[in-house]
Amino acid sequence: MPSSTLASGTASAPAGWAGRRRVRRLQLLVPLAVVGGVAALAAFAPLLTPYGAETIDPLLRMALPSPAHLLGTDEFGRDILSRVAYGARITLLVSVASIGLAVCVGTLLGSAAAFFGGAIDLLVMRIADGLLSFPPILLAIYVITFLGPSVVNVILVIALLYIPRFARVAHAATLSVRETEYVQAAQAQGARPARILRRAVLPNIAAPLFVQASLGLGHAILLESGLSFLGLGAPPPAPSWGRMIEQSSRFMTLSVWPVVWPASIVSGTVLAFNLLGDALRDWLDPRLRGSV
Amino acid sequence: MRGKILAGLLVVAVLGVPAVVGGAPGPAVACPVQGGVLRFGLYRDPTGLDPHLNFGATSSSLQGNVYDTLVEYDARGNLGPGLAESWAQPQPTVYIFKLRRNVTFHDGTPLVAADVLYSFKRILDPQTKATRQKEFEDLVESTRAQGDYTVEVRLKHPSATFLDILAGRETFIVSKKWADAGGDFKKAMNGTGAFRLASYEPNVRYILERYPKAWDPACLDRVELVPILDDRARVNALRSGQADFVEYLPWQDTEFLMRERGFRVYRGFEVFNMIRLNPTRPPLTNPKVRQALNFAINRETVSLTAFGGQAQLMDGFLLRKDAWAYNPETSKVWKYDPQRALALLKEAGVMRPGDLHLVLESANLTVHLDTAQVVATMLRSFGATVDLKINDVATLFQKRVTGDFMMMMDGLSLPWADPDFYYRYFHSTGTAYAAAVKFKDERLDQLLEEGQRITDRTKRKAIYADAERALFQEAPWIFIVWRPQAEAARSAVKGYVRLPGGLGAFSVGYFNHIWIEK
Repeated sequence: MPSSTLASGTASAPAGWAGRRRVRRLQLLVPLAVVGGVAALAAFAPLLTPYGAETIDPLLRMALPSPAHLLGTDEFGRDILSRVAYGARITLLVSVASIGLAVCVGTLLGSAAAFFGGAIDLLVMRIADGLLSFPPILLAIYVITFLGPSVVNVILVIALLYIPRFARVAHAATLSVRETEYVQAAQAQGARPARILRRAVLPNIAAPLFVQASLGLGHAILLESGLSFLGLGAPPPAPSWGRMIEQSSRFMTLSVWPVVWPASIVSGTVLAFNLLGDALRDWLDPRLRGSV
Repeated sequence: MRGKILAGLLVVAVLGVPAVVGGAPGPAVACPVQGGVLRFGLYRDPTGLDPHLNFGATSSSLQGNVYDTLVEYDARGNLGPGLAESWAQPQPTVYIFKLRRNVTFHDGTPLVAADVLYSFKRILDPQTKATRQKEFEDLVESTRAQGDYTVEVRLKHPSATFLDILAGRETFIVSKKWADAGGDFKKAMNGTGAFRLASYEPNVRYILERYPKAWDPACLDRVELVPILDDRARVNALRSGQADFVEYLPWQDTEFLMRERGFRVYRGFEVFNMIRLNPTRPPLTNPKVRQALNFAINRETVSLTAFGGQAQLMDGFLLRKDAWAYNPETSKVWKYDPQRALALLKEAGVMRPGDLHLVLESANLTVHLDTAQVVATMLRSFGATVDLKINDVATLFQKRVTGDFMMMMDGLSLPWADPDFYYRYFHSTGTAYAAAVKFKDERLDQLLEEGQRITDRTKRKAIYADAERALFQEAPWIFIVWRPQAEAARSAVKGYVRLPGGLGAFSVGYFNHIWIEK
């Protein structure tokens, strides 16, 4: 991705320019469409299928895709499309809520630490480094084992894992913004620190945070699916993508569809969020902005 | 395939081995092949070594092969000689056991009457927390040795189940000398069985080595018990040749392996899935609500979805057709009948099922969780609010004992074949259910006490029929299915016999009769 950005930035021939612009636009629009599609799936789940996510049909287990069940049914005779759609609700709720929480808390801590410096800076950033040194999935498993599996706990754990990441990004960005003339001007005018942070710093560090949030959403989905795959997410029979994969993979000798669908949608969504993050970075970068 | 079996039969015939082909549990049978190693994939860690504590059915493969009991079940499920080569009952309350001579413990000391007395004493000692402590305390009046090889046991009252208790997995005979010398039953094993525990590492492996001086010696040189917790990994270990034998076969692999060449599947229905109800927690305080829950679930659907249609429906209670006390009248009482469930709820003052707020606890084991999921879904579609909580196995075992639950998904196997098992569950002092949740029904208490003391079968049959009628009124559990329980082995593994009826879980305690075809 970064190499293509460079190439487009230095492009000179008009014909190649137009083609690359089209590619760049697609790089933004395709992942956006996938993310939008998943969001629509979650939002309109009850309208999409006549079945509930937990409705059992004992006589129609592991059915192949058909007009009645577009993606087939799982080993309990539950409609896979319904489960994927309702599962999107859980997954999106978890990822949006946890990353939202992490953005708010992390940005506040990171930019405040950078702005004030000194002991606060040292304390906040060392704690953040400490948390970053844990492998994410292990820390998550550890905490969930203590707190017990539930949607709220998964949100809290993912937020906890991502707070230091956002704090780091906000910290670095604030450090460079702090020395700019407009911040110094605001200080000279006697503005209070809170006002400076809100009016002068935050708008100018938003771009990298935005990109980081998009990447974070993808990671959060992966983490949530991983945790529910291990049985540490929303308890069954609630449909969550990770648990769907885990449960149905026991029956792969009999039918692969109940695994293939949730697995593809997890990878597709995560990939889309990652591509979206990359595209956003290019798009938000002021040096490249004019080229889209 | 068939040719091989015929050839095997011929070999057996030529060697003049008794007609029980495949080495049934019981007295020694010559081994068609001597030696070899059996790698056995366990469903979970055996959890403990103490020979007087029950650690669940999975521990049978460890304890049952290292230790012996006074009496043992044979391949047909009948009681036969074990460490006692014979016994007499001169009065209804007196048993005289004649011990086998030349039996030695794995440390080399001979088995004598003092060891049996010591084992009884250890089970009775509340400090041991033995699983059968209560039964022994209720039953055993006194024990006395007559010489080194005769033990006399006097009971407080006649008991129809005393010998069944002695054949159980919780009443193994241990060495007094070894214990006196400081042996720790929780850290090492010193039995009289065909295998001795050579080494172990919890959760990793348990190595059993052939004890050459055993009274019923093994064909195999060694058995390696390896816990492989993941169902798929366990089945794959068998298919890839890393294991010779695996237990707790998931139903989907049962069907698959039955068709596959080179493997043999052994299946029985001794374990039942049910939901323990806690009658001290509203709304379950009302028996009508508990009955309604039994009518609100569709057992056929559970069997189809959680067990691929392989389970047997539990539409009655714990006595099945093969039991002598079986009563057809009380055996088909639970049906899926939502109308009746609604009517019962109304009688209980619950006007809408939506007013039922239920909490169902389950262990994180597929054999439990699949059933729990289906039941939760069915009760939700009936209208109730169901909160499904998942626990690890240790926490669930804890809650079983403390009674800290409203509804608990569980799977049990019967401790013995005699209907006296009802006492352990449903008598108000019953250690396997009632005591923990303060379940008490005067009539049931009276019937179950009577059933224990009377030995006449016709009378007992009538008593247990009455007890089942009382159970129908009280509905202390949601009775669900007898789940398929299966093991699979490479087809070269011979001599494994699944015990009939409720005794299936005992089968893995007889590795001494297994041999591996070359």
